[in-house]
Amino acid sequence: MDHLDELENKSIYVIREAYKQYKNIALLWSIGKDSTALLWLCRKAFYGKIPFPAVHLDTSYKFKEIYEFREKYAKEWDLNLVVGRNEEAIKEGMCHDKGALACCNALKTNCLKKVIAEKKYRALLLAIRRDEHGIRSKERYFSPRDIDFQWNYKDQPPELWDQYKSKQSEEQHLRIHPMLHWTELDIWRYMQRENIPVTSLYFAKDGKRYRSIGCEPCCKPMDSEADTIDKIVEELQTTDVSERSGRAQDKENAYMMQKLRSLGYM
Amino acid sequence: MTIIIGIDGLEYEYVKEFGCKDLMQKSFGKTNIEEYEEPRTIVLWSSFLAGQNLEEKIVAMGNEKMWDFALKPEETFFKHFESFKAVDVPGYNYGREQHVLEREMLKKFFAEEITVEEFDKPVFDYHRKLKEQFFEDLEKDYDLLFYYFNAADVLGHLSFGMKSKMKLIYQDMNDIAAKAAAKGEPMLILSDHGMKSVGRYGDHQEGYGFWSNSLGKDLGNPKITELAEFVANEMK
Amino acid sequence: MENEDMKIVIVGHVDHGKSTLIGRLLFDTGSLPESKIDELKRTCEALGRELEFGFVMDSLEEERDQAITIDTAQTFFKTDKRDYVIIDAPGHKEFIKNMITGASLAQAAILLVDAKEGVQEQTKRHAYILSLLGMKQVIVAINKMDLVEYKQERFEEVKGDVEKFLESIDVKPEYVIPVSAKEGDNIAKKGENMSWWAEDTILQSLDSFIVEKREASTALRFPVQDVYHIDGKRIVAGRIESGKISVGDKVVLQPTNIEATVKTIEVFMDEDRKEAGAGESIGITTEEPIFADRGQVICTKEALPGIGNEVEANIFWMSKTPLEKGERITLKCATQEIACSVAEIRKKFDSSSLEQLEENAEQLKETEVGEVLIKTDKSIAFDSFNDIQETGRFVLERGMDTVAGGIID
Repeated sequence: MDHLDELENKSIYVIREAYKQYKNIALLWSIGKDSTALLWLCRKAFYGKIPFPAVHLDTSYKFKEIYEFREKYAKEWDLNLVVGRNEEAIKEGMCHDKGALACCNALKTNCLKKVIAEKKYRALLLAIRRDEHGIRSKERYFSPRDIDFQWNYKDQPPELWDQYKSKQSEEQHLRIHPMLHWTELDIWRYMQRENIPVTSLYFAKDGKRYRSIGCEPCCKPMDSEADTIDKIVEELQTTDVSERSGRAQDKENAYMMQKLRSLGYM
Repeated sequence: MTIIIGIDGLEYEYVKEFGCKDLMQKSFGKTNIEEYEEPRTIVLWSSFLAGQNLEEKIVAMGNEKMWDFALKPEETFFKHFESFKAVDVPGYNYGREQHVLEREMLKKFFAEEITVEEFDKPVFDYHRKLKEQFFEDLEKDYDLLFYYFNAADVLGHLSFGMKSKMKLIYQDMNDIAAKAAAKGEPMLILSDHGMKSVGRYGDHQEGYGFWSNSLGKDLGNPKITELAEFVANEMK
Repeated sequence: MENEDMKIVIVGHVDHGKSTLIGRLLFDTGSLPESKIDELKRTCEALGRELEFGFVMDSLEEERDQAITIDTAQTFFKTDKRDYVIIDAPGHKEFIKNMITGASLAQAAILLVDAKEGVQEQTKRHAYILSLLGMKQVIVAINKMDLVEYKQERFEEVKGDVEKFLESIDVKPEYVIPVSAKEGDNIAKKGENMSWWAEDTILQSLDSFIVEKREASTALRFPVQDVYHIDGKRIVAGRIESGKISVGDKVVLQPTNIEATVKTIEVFMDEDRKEAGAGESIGITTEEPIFADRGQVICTKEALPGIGNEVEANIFWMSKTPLEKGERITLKCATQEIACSVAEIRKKFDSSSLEQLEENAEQLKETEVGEVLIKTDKSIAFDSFNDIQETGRFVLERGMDTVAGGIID
């Protein structure tokens, strides 16, 4: 077994554990590369017949390529697709101009809470990775969240030898992270090897490409000439700009600009 | 000679955490600025100089014009001193050119026209020049010497959340205070407001600023408007 | 350059310099996010200061402390040989659960000991945990040599103490190295302060390790994880923990002792699979319809596991609420989940001193280690930890949480 085989086999084990223990679970599918890779692993785990839904949180502001991709592969892979939309907030005109934080909160976090409450999911599969961010290093494969999505990372149950939390209280739901041990580069190498389709947004057009994707107004492309997966892999091996830096700071930028204006600086 | 070092945006918690002994002097604490609607630089320094809350008056001038607000010496506690030198003090003789430039650069940074590096450079250059000039003036003979440094605030707006960098800047401010303290003269160090981090950025902290003095006098949690009297009566 | 990264864990007393060592590894291998260090460097220049290693440490600490959005690729570093990932394993006693969780994922460990302070309680506890986890690739770093004037005698003295202790818990370090993380001696490069040291640095030692594959045991252990009905097939799914399995093999399901013949090996998009080995998550179908269910372990007759209702083991207790002898709890070993109780606590030890506290005890408290006899309600299939780790270790669960880890004698 090579490195990617090891990663894959461990993830499949975790996915199968999640389904065995909790049955009523769902995969959170953002249509991005990570969650699409996770979806691929789920197909492998269950021989092409994923026995639980893939949930897409649709803020209504996603790139058109995302919607196209979703429709195409939901059909091709015979997915039980659940689309969550906070129609109320969308109707009231919620958008990132009202503050990126407020917007994410209404259209993603609250939307997800609603979907969980309606469908009574006991656990969600997410494609987060330990290498994404400092705090992620404290994540477990099976991470409990309370009813308000709070994560008490200082007092989590121990997790060793692939023995995962197999019972939960009514108030808890679990975040399950089958790809916690992957890196961004691993994901691309895996996509490359397995020929996993991704949206064209990741590939450079006119010298720009997206390194991570989400809502159109809040994503900025980066300078890049990488227009194939091979080139992306090559690019990542020589770069050290953090993947999410572009995205995370947008929220803070908006907040700071507003504050600096009110203080008379701008 | 009475020395006042005004440091814009000096955060009480960072001073303590970084162990900046010469900024803390013999006695230090937080000022109370809760009465102000927003912790605006120009409003707070003017109110300190005049010994009264000038927020309404200054805010009425609008965001652009307010930076030009300038008190006359007789409207400030300077009148109690026979000879004084005030350098770059907001609300009195704020250096317009530099600060207009800084505000322009802030806009450019958020418009993604310049980088943090390009933003920082002129701020550091100005800071170094000011520091040198301060050290020269320390050797002269004034009744009151009041220098205002704003590097901690201006750099802090883009970097307050990057503690390691702020520590270097605070250590530099501490070195400045140490040099002044060596004169053995009565000294007040004051900041208008503190700061708090927003990711890597920094926002003005509401509610408090920072004070310290060389006399060992515990001022408690004073309003900045009470400090003019303290300077005039007890620090000569 | 190897394609695979190695996960390492750094353990030891909290004050013995873990974060400085991490900082040093990152700094000296040029693995720190350039942009941030550049920014510090520029700030130093602008203020007429030198960039000291201490500032770099400040920068790392702040990322650890705050979950702020500055990029944090800080737990990765690379050498010419391969990439390394430092797994988070906090040292404080109250985080022991997190420490074990972290350490259980690592393929190699660095145990830090302060040259001045010597072996401390936490050093021993962490060393014991490495032993419990069966860690084979261990480096002992005698740190802060700068505080003892780089004296070789002091190094030898501490080294002797550590080795004596480690021997008592069956941990054999492959390297014991004198270092100063603060000054950078013997981490990535030799440095000039210890000319008497002619052996390897930390990085050379790490590079000599192998990214451990699974135990080479040939005995088949294929615990059933789940059974799927797909396209009319009944697929018995799971991960092979040891040995290999091929189409046509005669196998036996334990502890129920059901015999069967492997008809197909099921791997999605890999139709003609004839064989699968340790670590692979696969499925099988059998020639004859059998009753297979989660928890059974598929083996071969030639190499059967132990089967029974009693297990002798060493357990490490991790819950604030002590274990009471006879209390009803659950044992989880591979995919087996069986109600049980600890019938005897034959001996118990303090994990920090490994001093024997009591014989035939009634209770086991947090961070205590016990030599116990566990009685299970139903038969269980198991191995000795020394033979096959995957089926020789287990956790105990009370209510909804894992409360202990254990290894089978």
